[in-house]
Amino acid sequence: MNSAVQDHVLCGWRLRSEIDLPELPPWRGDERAPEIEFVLGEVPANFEAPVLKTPIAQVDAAGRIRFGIEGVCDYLVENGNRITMAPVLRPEAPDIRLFLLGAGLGLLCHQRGIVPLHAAAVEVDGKAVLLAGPSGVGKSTLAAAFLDRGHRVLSDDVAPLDWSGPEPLILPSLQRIRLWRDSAERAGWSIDTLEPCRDDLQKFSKPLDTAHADAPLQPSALIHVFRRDERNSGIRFDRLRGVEAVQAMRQQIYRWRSLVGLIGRGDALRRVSQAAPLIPLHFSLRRPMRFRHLEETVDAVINAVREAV
Amino acid sequence: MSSITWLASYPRSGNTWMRLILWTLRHGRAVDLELLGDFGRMAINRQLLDTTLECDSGLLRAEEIEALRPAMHEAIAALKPHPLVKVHDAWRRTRDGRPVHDPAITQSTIYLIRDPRDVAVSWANFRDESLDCAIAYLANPNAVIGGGGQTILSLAPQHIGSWSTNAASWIDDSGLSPLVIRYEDMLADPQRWIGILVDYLGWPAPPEIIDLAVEATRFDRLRKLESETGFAERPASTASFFRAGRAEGWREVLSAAQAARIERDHAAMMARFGYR
Repeated sequence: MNSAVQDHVLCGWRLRSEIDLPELPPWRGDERAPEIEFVLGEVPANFEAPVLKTPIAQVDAAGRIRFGIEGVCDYLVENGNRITMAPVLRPEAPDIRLFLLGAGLGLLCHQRGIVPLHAAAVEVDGKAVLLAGPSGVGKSTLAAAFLDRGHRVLSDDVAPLDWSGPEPLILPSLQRIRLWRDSAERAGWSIDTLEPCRDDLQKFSKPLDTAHADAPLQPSALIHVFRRDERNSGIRFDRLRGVEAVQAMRQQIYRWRSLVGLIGRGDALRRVSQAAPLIPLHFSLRRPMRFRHLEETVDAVINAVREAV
Repeated sequence: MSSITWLASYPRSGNTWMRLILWTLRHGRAVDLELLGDFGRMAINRQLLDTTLECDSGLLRAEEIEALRPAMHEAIAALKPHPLVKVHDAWRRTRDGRPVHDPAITQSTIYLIRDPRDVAVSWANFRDESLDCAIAYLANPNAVIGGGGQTILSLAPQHIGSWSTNAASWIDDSGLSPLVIRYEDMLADPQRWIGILVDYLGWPAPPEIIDLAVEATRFDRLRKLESETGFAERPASTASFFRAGRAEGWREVLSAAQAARIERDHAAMMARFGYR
């Protein structure tokens, strides 16, 4: 295996992987050593003294995280730079990459001190607007609607906030958008040509190509997306400030309980309260979830951000 | 480990109404629809599922979620003191034989039952479907809510079964000996039945709090609240979550043939609970 060929770029890091990652672009940067490694190997079935244990995930006091999807793969995430995989499926199965580049990436971020937000990130006026919320609230569908309008996309699900440098930055993550069948059809995707994220799952992945923002951007706004009862017609924005903004952001930390397991509740809360003010604007957005309201939602987001700047 | 109270019923049988009553009893003040929030939500609510598992449940297949449900309920029982969990699923076992709603982590179980002729009318309205569709749905022992998989729903799939098998699964098969409350009895004499309920649950509830719960959850009040603030749990298919909230409304809606079909489909269970 020629490792130079195998190296990829992920969030700006040089990544070396023992499994193929067709969704990631090749590394074209300098000759630095890889910053992240994905390897095949053994993953302990259980940690001896986990500080967090759920039916899927475990965290131990040494800061290691294991998670497993039965029948798919077990993963061990260590040191912020290494994920070991013990696949049950063949290593090239898309299912393995799905959890590797989703949960795996988010957990690596936590170990690296980067704040992964459960948010899609789109470019508006040269900065990143984050559309945050739990699964099913419409993050990717909104990101696809921004894409239709010519906005570049940094991420459709997990947006890493790197606040270690002089300026806070949202890192570009995966060069794809994933949509459930109904949203993909609305967006006019030809589903037959796309790879399902997993067999038997009606969720499809589409490469972003040039529509992917390939460099980090400063964040301009964190928008918490909620569903609104249809009868309260219209779209409602509320500006969040101070403690309210911090509390809302804490709800959007991807894998919050794992972070608490890694560094303790006090430090996890401190991390959020220090990172939140680095994002200039915080809003809640309540909107009817029907597809016919998508266009006006995109307009409303752009207007809200521009007016507040 | 603290243990779960299951609030189980077939859909449209007063489960949310009962959550509002229990909220008022527990908090000692009149509930409104926005306060209800996560109180007594379903365990398969997507957000709760993701937090409990630390996983994107939307990326799991339906059968993987089903296999994880016993462990997930265990995790919920360990996380919160005495959680109240709403269920429309039938009581059942996973493919490897584990009870999904395990007696080992159960503190108490309430099963609400309602005349299937009224349930059919309410379900047709709720889903914006024909009465005949609703009647066939109530008779389907393999009925699953949210099993289509075309989109991500706010709830994971629920295996509810038919109206009769749902009731039998909880009342006869589960070994949980639920307190069974008829919706119609609750409507006719709420003071008495809330009294029975709090005795069963072991909740302290002085008479004035029971009176408050009755007043705060009258259907005319709930309808008014819903018209003012909306209700986050209302699906887009129905104009209002809270409808008439009365018994025997079916007599003005169902044809004789439609009523007869329901009576034939569910004869044994209807006779058992006095639905003539």
